[in-house]
Parts: sequence; structure tokens; C-alpha cells
Amino acid sequence: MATTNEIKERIAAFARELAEELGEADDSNALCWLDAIETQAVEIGDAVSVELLKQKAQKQPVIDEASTCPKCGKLGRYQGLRERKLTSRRGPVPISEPEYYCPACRRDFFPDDQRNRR
Amino acid sequence: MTSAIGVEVSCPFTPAMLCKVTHAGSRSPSFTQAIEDLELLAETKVSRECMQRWTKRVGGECVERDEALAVAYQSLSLPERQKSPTDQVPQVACVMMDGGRIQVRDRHETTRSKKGYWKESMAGCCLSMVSQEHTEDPSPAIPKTFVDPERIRDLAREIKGVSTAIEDAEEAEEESYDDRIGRPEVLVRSVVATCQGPETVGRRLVAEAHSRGFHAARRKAFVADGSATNWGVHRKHFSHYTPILDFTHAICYVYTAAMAGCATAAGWRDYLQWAQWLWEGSIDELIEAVAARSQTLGAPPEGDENSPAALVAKTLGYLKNQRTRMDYQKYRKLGLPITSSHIESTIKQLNRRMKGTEKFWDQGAEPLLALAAAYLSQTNRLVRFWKDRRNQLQPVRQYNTAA
Repeated sequence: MATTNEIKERIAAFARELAEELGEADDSNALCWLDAIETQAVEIGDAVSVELLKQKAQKQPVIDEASTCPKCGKLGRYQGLRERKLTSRRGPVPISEPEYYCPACRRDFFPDDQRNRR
Repeated sequence: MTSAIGVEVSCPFTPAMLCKVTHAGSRSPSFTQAIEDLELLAETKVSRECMQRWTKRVGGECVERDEALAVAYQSLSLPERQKSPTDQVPQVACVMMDGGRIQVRDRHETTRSKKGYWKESMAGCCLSMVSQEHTEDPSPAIPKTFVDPERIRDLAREIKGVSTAIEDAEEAEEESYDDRIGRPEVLVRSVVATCQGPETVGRRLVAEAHSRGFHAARRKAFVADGSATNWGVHRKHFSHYTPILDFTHAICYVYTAAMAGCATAAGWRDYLQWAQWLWEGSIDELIEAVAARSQTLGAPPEGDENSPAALVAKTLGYLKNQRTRMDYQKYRKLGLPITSSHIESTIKQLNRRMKGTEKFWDQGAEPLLALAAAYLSQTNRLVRFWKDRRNQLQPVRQYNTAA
């Protein structure tokens, strides 16, 4: 599990800070007080998850000027970083990956590079 | 980075989200319902187009996987086919199959088909079971549920569409058929479904049975209703499995014949005797009695399929055709199942997604059937599928061919 005891303690400290800062939850549109604080907690949890995903996924990838086309085996040239927005379990997450173009196949490809596993 | 991301270049979901989308798309009764379910339960909004496209795409890959398994099985030599590819060989291996109905319509069709759109889909299940063998029949008397006038009338109406009034018959005590002594217990079920006909379901079903070590089991059964399609599959792929006619279908025929053309009380008396013969596997006596009734009623009038004479003649033909698959006493001694209730309920579960007067399928039927079957299987088929899928992704965009 990623949530080791140390991380759990840090999360608890962060949650204590947030709880003080946020004060009373607004329950005017909620079913009850508990529903209001549950909604607030889930929103914060989702935001933390998405942020963590973004930061891990947006680390600058290793880029080569050319890469081998998976179809024909010839060298394709680097086109730039392609931005994708993926829907995750906790919301949209942007991901960027190096895009190459193979002049022989006349199509883009996105090579698997072990160095880009973050 | 495609394999690191775990979904193809064009996919708008993370792998975990794609699993959820596929689950909702194939388990909810409709795509619209799936979107609502996903929004409520997973708190994620997905467009209908995306839901439909990706569910069908993943389903299409399941079809390819099923086909690949079938092709691999066909390429095996006969001795290899009889061996189990796994360490586990079930105590009792049971294969059941049946047909369902879905509406298939060509989306480019401009005029309404006069014949309607209902087409047969087919499903089969492989059930590993445990049971004891007996030297004597563990349950010699027919269960009360089959001699309960109301229950058997409802059953006959449901299965054969026949209704007969029984007011004078004695009331029987409530007893569940499931409580029968010696009934085999199901351990693991896997399901195969297709709308591409009996040839396809047969090839995929036999490959699935082989992959689970069924052919190497000592006690093997193939259970189905009287449809010639089912028994064609049995002959071609499962001829070394004990053929068993679904008892429930058989008893409904017997009930219909017993109640046809005579007073209710007399008909019910005959039914009790005939049902017991059927239960014991005394098929010769049963056929003789039904033949005598048929002779008394004479030849069926032309064009009236519901006349008593026609109903009895039909039952007689049915019993004669199926006589080699009705030795129920022997099957009970061997600890084999005698009804196809598991495939009947599987079909109902598949129908929940596939069948409806408002549901018309085009190319989507086959992928959705494959996915629905995979979700009903208890063999971790989908867990393996998702694991393997990651390694088979192409790091290029897939383009659809224009129609």
C-alpha cells in the first residue's frame, strides 16, 4: 500500500489543518450536517487525488530526436508532446507523451520507452 | 508510453475508469441506464457516445479472445483435446446450452421487415460440480413440486404455453425441488454466448470446456431441452458426455398429454403415474401409455395444433425422439444434474441486457453478448483479459474503415 504509516500521519496533520481552516460546513444544500461534511471531504479527497495524479504523470518525459516506428521499423521524427486529457476515477487528468511521425507509414506513433515510466 | 498508460492512444479513460465504463455498459439494462448508474455510483459523467463506443470495442476484443481460444482448440490433436490443460479436473463436468432471442436490425434498412427482427442468440455454460455416486436411486419418488397441480400447470404454461384448469385435483404440500437428495452442487460457472449460430456457440463452448479440464473429468453431462440444435452441438463436440434431456421440459410434455382429451380428475390420475414413470426412467411404459391415449383420440385434425389429439401425438413423437436421454434414475445414481435450470437462469441474466421490445441490435449484439457472458463467468476471465490487454495495445492510432 502506498499509504504507509508515515504518510497516514502527514495526511492526518494536513486534514487537521484543513478542518480548522474550513470551519463549519455549509449544510444549506445538503441533506444534513453529516452529508455536508462528507461532500466536502470527498471533494477535497478527489482534488488531492487528481493533483497527485497530475504531478506524477506530468513529469517531463525523456525525449529522443528520433524513435523506431512500431509498424515498419524505420526511424520516425519527434513531433512534440501530445497532450491527452484522461477521465480518471477521481476526475480529468492531463497526460503528455512524446509523439513521433513515421514518414514511411505516414502516421504518428507513441513509442513505449521504459525511461518514461514515472 | 502506451503500455505505461495502459489504454490505447485514442482512449479517453484511465484503465481503471475504462473497466468501470465497460462494466456499466454491459451490466446495466441499457447504455442510458449505464450512464446514470455511473454518474450516481462512480460520480463520473460519461457521454453516451463514449460509453457505447468503448463498451462495444472492449466487447469486440472479448469476441476475438473467444474465437482465438476456439481456433487454438480446433488445432489440437484428438489425444491433446482429451487432456486437461489445468491441474484441476472437476469431479462432475456439466455443459448446458439453450437459445435466447434478441432483435437484430440492419441500421441502414429503410423498410420494416415483415417477419420482424427476432433472431436466435445462443448461450452455453460450463459448470464444475460436486456430487456423490449412489448404488441405489437417492431420490426414488418424484419431488412433490412436480405433482403440485398449481405448480405444474404454471410450469407447463411458462414452458409450453399450455393452460389446463385443475379444480378437483388434490393439493400438494410445498416442497422446493432444490432440496432433492443427491442433487449435484455447482462450484464454478463460466458462460459463452453468441448470436452467430449453433456452429459458433459449439466451437466456443467446447474450447471453454477444454480450457477448464472438463474433457478429462470422469463424470460428464450435457444437459439441454429437446431442440435439435442443442443435440447437433452435442453430437459434434460433446459426444463423450452423457446426454440428458432437461427433466422440466419433458414433464411439461407429459403433463400436457395426460390432461389432453379427458376429464380433469382422470387426466390428473394418469399424469401422476406417467410423471413417476418419467422420473424413474421407465420410458417404455410411458410411451406405451401415451401411445394408447393417442390411439383413443385418433388422428389429429389437420391445421389444429392445439387439439387434444395433436397435443398427445406431439408428446408421443417427443418422447420417442428423446428416449435415449431420459434415463433419469441412472443419472441420479451417477450424481448428474437432470434439469437445465442453470442455463435457463443464465439466459434470463443475459436477456436483462440484451432483450427487450425496444432494444434493436446491429453490430453491437455480438460484443455485448461476449461481455455479458464474461461478466457472468466466475473464472476470472475478465481479470486475465484486462491484464493481457495492456500488453497488446498498439502505440499508434487505430482508424475505422469508412462504411
